[in-house]
Amino acid sequence: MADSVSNAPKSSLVSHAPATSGSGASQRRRYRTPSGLQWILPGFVVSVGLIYFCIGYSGYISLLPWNWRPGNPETIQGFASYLRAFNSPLFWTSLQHTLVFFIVAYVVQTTMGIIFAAILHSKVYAATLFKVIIFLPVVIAPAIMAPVHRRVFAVDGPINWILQHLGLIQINGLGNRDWVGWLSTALSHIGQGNVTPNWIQPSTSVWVIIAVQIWSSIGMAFILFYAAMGQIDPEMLEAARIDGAGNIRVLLWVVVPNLRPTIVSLAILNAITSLKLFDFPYLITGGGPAHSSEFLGTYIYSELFGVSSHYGYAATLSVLLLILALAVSIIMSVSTREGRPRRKVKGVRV
Amino acid sequence: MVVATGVALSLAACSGGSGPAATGASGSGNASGTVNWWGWTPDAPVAQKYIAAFNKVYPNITVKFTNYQNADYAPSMSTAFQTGSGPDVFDVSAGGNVGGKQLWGQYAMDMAPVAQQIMGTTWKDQFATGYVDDLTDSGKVVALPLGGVAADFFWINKDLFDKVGVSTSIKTYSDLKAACDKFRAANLQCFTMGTNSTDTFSTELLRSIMSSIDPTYYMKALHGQVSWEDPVFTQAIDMLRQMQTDGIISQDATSIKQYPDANNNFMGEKAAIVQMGTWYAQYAAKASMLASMQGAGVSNPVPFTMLPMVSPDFAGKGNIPGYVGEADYGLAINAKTTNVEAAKTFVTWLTTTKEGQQDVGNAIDLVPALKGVQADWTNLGLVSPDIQIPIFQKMFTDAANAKETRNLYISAETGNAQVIAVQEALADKSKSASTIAKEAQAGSVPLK
Repeated sequence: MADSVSNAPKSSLVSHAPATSGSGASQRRRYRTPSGLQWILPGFVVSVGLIYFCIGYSGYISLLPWNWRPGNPETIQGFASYLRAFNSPLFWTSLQHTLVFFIVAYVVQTTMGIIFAAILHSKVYAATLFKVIIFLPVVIAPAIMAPVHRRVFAVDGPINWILQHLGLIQINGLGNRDWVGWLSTALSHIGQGNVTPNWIQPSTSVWVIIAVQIWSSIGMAFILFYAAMGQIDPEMLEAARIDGAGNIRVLLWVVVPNLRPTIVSLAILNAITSLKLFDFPYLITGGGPAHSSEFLGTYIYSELFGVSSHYGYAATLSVLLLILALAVSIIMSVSTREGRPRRKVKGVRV
Repeated sequence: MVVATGVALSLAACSGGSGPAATGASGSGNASGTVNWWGWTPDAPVAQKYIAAFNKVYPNITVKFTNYQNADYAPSMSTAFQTGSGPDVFDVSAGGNVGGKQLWGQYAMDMAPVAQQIMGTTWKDQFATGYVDDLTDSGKVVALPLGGVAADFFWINKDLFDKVGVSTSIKTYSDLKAACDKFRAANLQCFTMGTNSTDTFSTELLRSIMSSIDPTYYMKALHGQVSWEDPVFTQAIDMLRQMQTDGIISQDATSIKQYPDANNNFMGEKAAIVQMGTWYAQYAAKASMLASMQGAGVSNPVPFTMLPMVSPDFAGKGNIPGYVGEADYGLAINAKTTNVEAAKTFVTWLTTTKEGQQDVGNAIDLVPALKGVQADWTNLGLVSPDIQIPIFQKMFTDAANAKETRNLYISAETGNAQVIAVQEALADKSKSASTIAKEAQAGSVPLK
């Protein structure tokens, strides 16, 4: 570590320009003054003054019994709110939803993004049109699309209409939609007999959110992979072809390994998105019914700005979210570190 | 998120005997300026009517009304007050999880001296019985009542009932089920309700059912005298589920909201019955109905006759759930407003003068708070005045005499717990009624 520090290039903030005028003291001062400080100062003040102050202040609030009625309680209650969070089933449910969301969304986005990118790197008719269609959901605001998705997943919405015309849904004597016999039996066998074709219900609402999020962000994965594939050396692909590899083999054993940095970046982006997820759950399901699609973001919102105004507890949840985000970032950074050859010396990996 | 929390909270830390007046209002007679009024009610067109009438008397005061969805009111108010940028005038209700006095009363000035100044020492008695007390918190009159409300009953589209050949006399659960069967056969939705929200509209059906099982249970449970795990509650949950099984509660109830979805289903004539309160009478007038129908997506609306319908005897025990009511909401003045005189003038004109209260009455959104004021029924432009006027008059009389309060004793926690109970009852069949009851009990906090 010491070597790496000593060999590192000098900070660009330090000016090396020789002083041409002024007294010796001012020359020394100028030499020590980071160049461009005045340019970064506003951003620096905002970052430290607002963001880091707020983080610290949230940490302070999280120790206060600042619940129910707003005010300024001065008695620090310690870590009671943290204990409350750890003992709250809703907190763990939100975390579980976040984890499931991350895994499913990441796997599907990565897989579909690579497939779309590979297809569109082939000579596909109207490729530009397809690119636009795939990417368009990325640029549409969730607030615009949420009402549409609510309609799409409504009991009498397009999804159920399609399933009905595929022969998977029937309308019973009460006018309600239900699965056809064999499908209903199959669902019962896997313990999902309570699941009806009403997508905003406890057993399916979180999957609706995941589906919508995948739909809205798959274009970003596609663009990243499309750009990354463009950077692969064509000679490598030609060599694989000459060796007799077919399309699938080239994709799996040549293209995908070259996409590793993009796959890692996408994992980090997805982890961040998962932790701060708020818009779609809030707008489509409101975190419900009965908290069934609650994520950390919506949970914090409902505690902070909801009807109960649990300021201290909401701050606690925010701090826990921050710790989680930091932990995820560190783990991902460490696990994906590249560039240094690894060798074992006396059983110690260096 | 942590930054957002911090911003909100750190900004918070930095912010530091005569009769009713015929024409006058409190405040300086030459008050002027702009009054910002926030509320979840009334609807914007009704508010504009109030403001227009007020401006005929006080043209120098501009009132800007911002209408919030129920679920958005608390977040907006919370942020605004903590950052010191709250409205000059705001709605406060007797209780509940939207505008409850226990939530916002602390930001309001005491209105008792203001009212006494203009109405004399008997000022309290000039309002409908209990209305001032409903809006009093810890000895402070946080708002002057604009009017009263009653709920726990239904509204029906009489035209659809007639068209399908269903009797409007629905007195028992069997009657309701039979009616719904007929509507379904006619490809119409019978009863529309939305539960996918934090607002407490959906809990009123649960309350009606509980009252039909035991008329005294709900208030006792609200006060903590009996548990929500009592068999009455679990029976009500089971009955709610039975209504879903019997096709009375539609399948989409768990995925839609009361507002705007269920409201649009009713106003768009897709559904024949909806559970709403006295405030819904405002849509019975042709003009407001047409606007509502267009808002519900009807391209060429034809006004229909809507009527209130008392809850049926769900449990078959001879208990017909009655109206529950109280002061619906009052107007509070921000204790930190910089435009006190204009705010006082507006609030007192609307709440304490006969002219203002007449406008409130004529909007048929509320039961007028001031005794002796009634809607000018014959000039309201009702769709079917001959049928509606006597029924509406009775409804408003019954509403003013409601024996139980609606939201007064419902804490935000209890309201939330009831909402979750209804959502779980209808959407999560894996949970038993007793489990739901247990959760409801654990989540409830009786108000002292």
